[in-house]
Amino acid sequence: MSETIKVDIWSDVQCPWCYIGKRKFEAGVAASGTDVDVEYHSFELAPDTPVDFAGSPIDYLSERKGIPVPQVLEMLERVTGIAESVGLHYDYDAVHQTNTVKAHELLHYAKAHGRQLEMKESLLKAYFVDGGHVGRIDDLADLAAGIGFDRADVVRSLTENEYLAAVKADVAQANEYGIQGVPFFVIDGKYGISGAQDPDTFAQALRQVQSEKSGTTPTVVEETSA
Amino acid sequence: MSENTTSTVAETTEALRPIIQLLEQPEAGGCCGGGSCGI
Repeated sequence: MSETIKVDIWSDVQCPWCYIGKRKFEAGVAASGTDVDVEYHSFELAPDTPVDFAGSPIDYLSERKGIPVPQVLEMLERVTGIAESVGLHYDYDAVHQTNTVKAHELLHYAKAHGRQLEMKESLLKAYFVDGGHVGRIDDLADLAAGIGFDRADVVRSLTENEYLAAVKADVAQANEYGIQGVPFFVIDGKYGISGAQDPDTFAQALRQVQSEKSGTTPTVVEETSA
Repeated sequence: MSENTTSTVAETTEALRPIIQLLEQPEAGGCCGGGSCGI
C-alpha cells in the first residue's frame, strides 16, 4: 500500500491560472497513481481591492495596474483559451472583480469542517464560470449552503472574522517560503512546483516523492522529443 | 497574470525546511498580483 503524499497548494480564488492549475494537477495525480492529501492555502493577489469594486477585471487591470486595455484583452483571451483546453468555460464578461479575503476565510471554515476541496471548486466555478460574487458574505454563505453548510453558521463565522488569522498565517508562510506567484504547490513539505504546469510534471514529481518514501527507484517514463 | 518563468524557491528560513526544486520546470502560467500579472 502506498503512502499518502501531502500536497499544500497556495492559490487565490480570482487567479485564472490557479483553476487551470487545479485541473492539470488533478490530471497529474490521476496519471501518477499516487494517493494525495491536498490542503489549500490562502494567497491574496489583490488585497487592496474593495469588496464592491465597481468594475470588471479589465477595468481593474487597466486602471489599477496600468496595463493597456488591448494587452489586458489579449491576456484574458489567451487564458480563457487555455482554460477551455482543460474543460473550463471562463466567462470574463460576467466576472466580478472583488476582494477575496472572505472567500479565503470560508475556505478555512470549510477545511475545519472537512470539506475544503469541495468549497474551493465551488468558489472557483462561481467566480470564473458562473459570474458569482465571491467577496460578499451573503453571496459566500449562499455558495456554502449550496454544498451543504449551515448558512447561518457561515455568516456568523465570516462576520466574526473567525478564520482571518488563519488566512493571514497562510499569507505569511507564503512570504517565508518566498512564494511570489500562484498557484504554488509544495509536495511532501519540501518540493516546490510553481505555476499551472502540465499534468506530466506533477505526475513525475509525485512518483519521485512516492519512490523516496518507499525507498524504491521511480519508474522513468521515456519522453520522445519532436 | 503572466507566464511565470521563475525557478522554484530554494530559500530557507530558520523555521522552515527548504523547498527544493524537484524537476526542471518548463514555463507555466501563474498569477503574481501586480504589474503585468495583476489578476
